[in-house]
Amino acid sequence: MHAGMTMPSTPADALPRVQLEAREIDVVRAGTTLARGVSFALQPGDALILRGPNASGKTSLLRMIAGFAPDPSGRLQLRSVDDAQALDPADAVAWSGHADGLRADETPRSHIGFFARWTGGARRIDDALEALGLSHVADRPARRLSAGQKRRLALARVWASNRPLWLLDEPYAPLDDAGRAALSDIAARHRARGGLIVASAHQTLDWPDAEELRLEAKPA
Amino acid sequence: MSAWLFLLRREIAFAWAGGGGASAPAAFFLAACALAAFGVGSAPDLLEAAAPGALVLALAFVAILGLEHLFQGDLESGALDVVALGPAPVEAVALAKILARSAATLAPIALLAPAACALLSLPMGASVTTGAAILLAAPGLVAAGAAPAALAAGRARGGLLIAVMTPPLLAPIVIFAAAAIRAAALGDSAEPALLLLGACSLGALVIGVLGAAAALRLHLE
Repeated sequence: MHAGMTMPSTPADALPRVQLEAREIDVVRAGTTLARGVSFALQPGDALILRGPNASGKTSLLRMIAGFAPDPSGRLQLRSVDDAQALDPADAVAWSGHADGLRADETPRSHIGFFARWTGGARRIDDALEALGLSHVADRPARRLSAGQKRRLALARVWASNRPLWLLDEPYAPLDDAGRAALSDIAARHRARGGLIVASAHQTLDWPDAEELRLEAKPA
Repeated sequence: MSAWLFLLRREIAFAWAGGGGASAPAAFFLAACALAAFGVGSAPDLLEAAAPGALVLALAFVAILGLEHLFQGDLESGALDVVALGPAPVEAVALAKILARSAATLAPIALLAPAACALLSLPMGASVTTGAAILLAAPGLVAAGAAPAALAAGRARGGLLIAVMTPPLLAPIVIFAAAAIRAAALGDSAEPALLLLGACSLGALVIGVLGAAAALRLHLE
């Protein structure tokens, strides 16, 4: 197995520099407006934590940023910092949702191996598994992983992707203390490389200088 | 393109491993052919007349039976979300799934053409044409049901919905596949029917990919 916790940061796999801005956008799901007038602006290295009760639109906002759901207003913009060109989220986003995106038969090694290539990742598979503490289950089918291990694998996929914008939907929920520490660690390293993170969470996160955005549930 | 071939290879591996390979669809196909032979009875001219249609119908059943799980697993597991954030549009992802499914479950049935011909009292000389017809029909049969499969994924009784929506879409493929086998059994040239079958299969592939991708985009929202 690849040695130790020392991961060399190779300058060759530099992240594209992107910025994400929302100006007074409405969060809509299936025709229902969940939140109105949401605004934020993120530059390389920034993190935004979405807070709010259930059904306040956190997941729906993340799905809008990912480009899964349309933004009719056009005021949600993902741009390259260097030339201000609009970017397709499909080229810039790494995603970890409520469902971890795993198939029952695949192993962590094959999962990371496929998606690192699919998303143009440059990190080595072993490094990503190591960072999330999955080296000892690298060849175990996903159906035999615990909920926490599956989430770690989804996060290892994000870490291996070399994408500048991470969208994480309640990433801490099924993790144990070691898993939380590993996530905080890769989040800090991603931001140090100039990456962006938007994450939803119900608890306070130990991310330095992370902005918080509170979404309120609309009264029925 | 190379990333898409990588996706196709992965999808074929999962389609093969996920359902126990081609053995279950093949067994079901032979069982359906045998049941058709029992149902029609042993009068040789009667069976020979009914055989091409029965054989193709058995193949269509195999295709329909697997449609419910064509996209449902990826939608439920969130795998579609992750794959959609990649270098290929959803259409290319749908195409890979359709081709992988037909290659892993339907195309191997072509090897059973001689056995099916024997069960249904078709002349052995027709088995090469039968195999070719199965290979040509395979991608079209899955593709024709792909849009209904994507629309119905995740719905209660989705399988029934798919079974109701799909058969009309399969009609052209069934017609020309049976025509090719019938021509071969009678000693005529099967080429015109095979060419039309290929055209129908290709058309189904185009329409199926576009329809399935549109339905999958609705799910992504």
